[in-house]
Amino acid sequence: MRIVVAMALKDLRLLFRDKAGLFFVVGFPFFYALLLGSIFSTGSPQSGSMKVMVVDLDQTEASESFIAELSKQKVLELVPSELAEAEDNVRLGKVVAYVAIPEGYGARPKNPLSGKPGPEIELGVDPSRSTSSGMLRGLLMGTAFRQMATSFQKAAKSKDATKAEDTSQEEAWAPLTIRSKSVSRKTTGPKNGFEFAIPQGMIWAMLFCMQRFSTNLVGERERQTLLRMQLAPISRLHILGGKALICFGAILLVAISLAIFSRQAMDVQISSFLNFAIALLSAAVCFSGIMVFVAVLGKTENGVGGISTAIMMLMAMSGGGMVPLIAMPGWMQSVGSVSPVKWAILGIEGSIWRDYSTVEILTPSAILLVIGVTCFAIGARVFRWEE
Amino acid sequence: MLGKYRSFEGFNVPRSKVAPFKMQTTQMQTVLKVTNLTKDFGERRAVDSLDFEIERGEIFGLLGPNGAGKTTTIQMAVGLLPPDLGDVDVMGRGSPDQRSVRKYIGVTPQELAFYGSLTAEENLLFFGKLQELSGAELKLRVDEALDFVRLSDRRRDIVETFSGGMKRRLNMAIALLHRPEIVLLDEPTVGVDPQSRNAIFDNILALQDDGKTMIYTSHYMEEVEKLCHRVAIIDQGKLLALDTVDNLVRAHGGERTVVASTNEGEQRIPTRDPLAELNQLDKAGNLRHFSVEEPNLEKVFLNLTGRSLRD
Repeated sequence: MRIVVAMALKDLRLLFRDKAGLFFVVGFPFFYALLLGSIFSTGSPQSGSMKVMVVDLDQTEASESFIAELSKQKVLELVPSELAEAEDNVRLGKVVAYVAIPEGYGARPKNPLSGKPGPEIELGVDPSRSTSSGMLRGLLMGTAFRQMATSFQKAAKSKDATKAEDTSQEEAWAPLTIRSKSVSRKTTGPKNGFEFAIPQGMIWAMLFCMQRFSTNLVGERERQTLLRMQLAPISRLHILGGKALICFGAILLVAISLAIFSRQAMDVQISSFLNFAIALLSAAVCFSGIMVFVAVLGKTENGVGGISTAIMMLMAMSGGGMVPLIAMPGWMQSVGSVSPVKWAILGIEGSIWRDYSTVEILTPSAILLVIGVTCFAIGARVFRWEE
Repeated sequence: MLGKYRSFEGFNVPRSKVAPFKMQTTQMQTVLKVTNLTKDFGERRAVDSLDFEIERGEIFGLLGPNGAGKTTTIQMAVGLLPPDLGDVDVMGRGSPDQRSVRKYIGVTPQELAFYGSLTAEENLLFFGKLQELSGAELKLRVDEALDFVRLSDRRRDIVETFSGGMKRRLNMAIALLHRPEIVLLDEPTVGVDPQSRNAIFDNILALQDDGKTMIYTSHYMEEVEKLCHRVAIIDQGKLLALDTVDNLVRAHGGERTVVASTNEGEQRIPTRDPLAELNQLDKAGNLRHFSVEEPNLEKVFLNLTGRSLRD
């Protein structure tokens, strides 16, 4: 094992001295994830409007006035709805939240100094959307206070403040009580673009690691260092093991860095660390195994580089690494099942936004492990010291 | 000119500096034994039934043109290539394809076999680890190897910045890290300046003093003549001759040649008695300048194969 580690560390050192190679293995996946995440993040709270369903169960002038005031918020896109439909849409992730104005909203206390609690509304939101929830609460409360201010201004202008107070419910003060209802999302999609983009970035890190390290073996042959290894008291498995280990390690390093970065900077939450670990480890094994297989296919660095690039592009295209699987026609999605990229994406997305159970994660992980181990075994069998 | 030194391109190793090798002494130990070694590549027989033995402390030269089977022979001898027929025995411990036997062999390949973007020290540390060295012992060997090839002051420099000669010396240092008994030097002076070449020769002589056995291949016959105790001449996969340089020259070098410049132009006269030939020319009264060419390995090779080594 010491020799395998020495081989891997040597390759790591060589990687850090190769600036272009380092960019593609480390820099590009970050760049790709950021770019893709930005493109797909139009529905996030930070950009565009937040789609919120409004359920008016009160159907009074007061509730309509509240909704009218709320609709003035440019960051909100209000969609009238029934309660059941609104809940379903939140659960399916189609809208961020719903606001339900219950019956009796209009019958709130007339005297602002009555000491009784103000009117109450219901905010139905996915508990994982803490940022959106907080923002909505602020907007609702702001709307309520604006209504209250309007009420006082109108009362002051009136000659008979008492009359005004008596006749108009809409002019009542409105420190709002917001009752939250937890509507757990039945996840059918990422909650923002980065939840979709980060797994993609990780996949590209794996693909570039595979592509970069696949040329190492023939590089050793071309620069005759393989000859020195052959003369050393080590076996072929030491060499292939070292190559696989550096690929495996580099994949983990970049993927974990991406996960930490996206958690801190883009609020991308891993729903299950166990599932994420299983998915990531199996994907790293898979792509390291494929790397070893590809490495023995050619006789020159250019040859292997070409083969590995072609395989990388095919796997990425068919497996959803370039175009999301959901955007592909049915037959293409079926074809994509032969690509390990599909299973790696499923596994990682499953632990981020698909909310897979551990059992569900095991299927893609098992497929990836089988592919990886099989490829490594074939590579080890095909690899010869001499050309 | 043919006195104590035979000079060429800055290489000034007196023949006397190469310690004589006494084949007849008792206690000789065969470190490499090749028996009926044969290798085919498709229809072509690259190596054809080679037999030779190399003794401990010997500098053994392998001479042959490109495609003669020299590299294939070496590759089989050190376990890089499996023979189709025949055996190789290293130190009486068996075939070099066994991992435990390979540690007795160090190879300085003709190509520069290291990582250009690592430092000299990083290269040595890595290859030392492959030889199962570690800790203080590894550091000691690295220091020793760098000192030996006079690269200690450049140990932390990226190898790509080295001159050709320095790279050649590092190439040799890597082969010596694990203190092998047998050192294969495959064209170790290709493309180096005279100063580095002399440094490499000094290293070879130091290794000889240390009792190492060396297999030396080169296109430069002068190097082989100067350094090697015995020389095997190989062509088309066959061993044409194997003996000491002197014996080979005596047996196959032919006669000396008098090169005389006369009024009729330059004459080349092969002769057993150059002095008599010169006297005769002098008596004729038209001798202006002359030189005497001694038979050498080039002539040996020409006489054995009918062509020049560099053809």
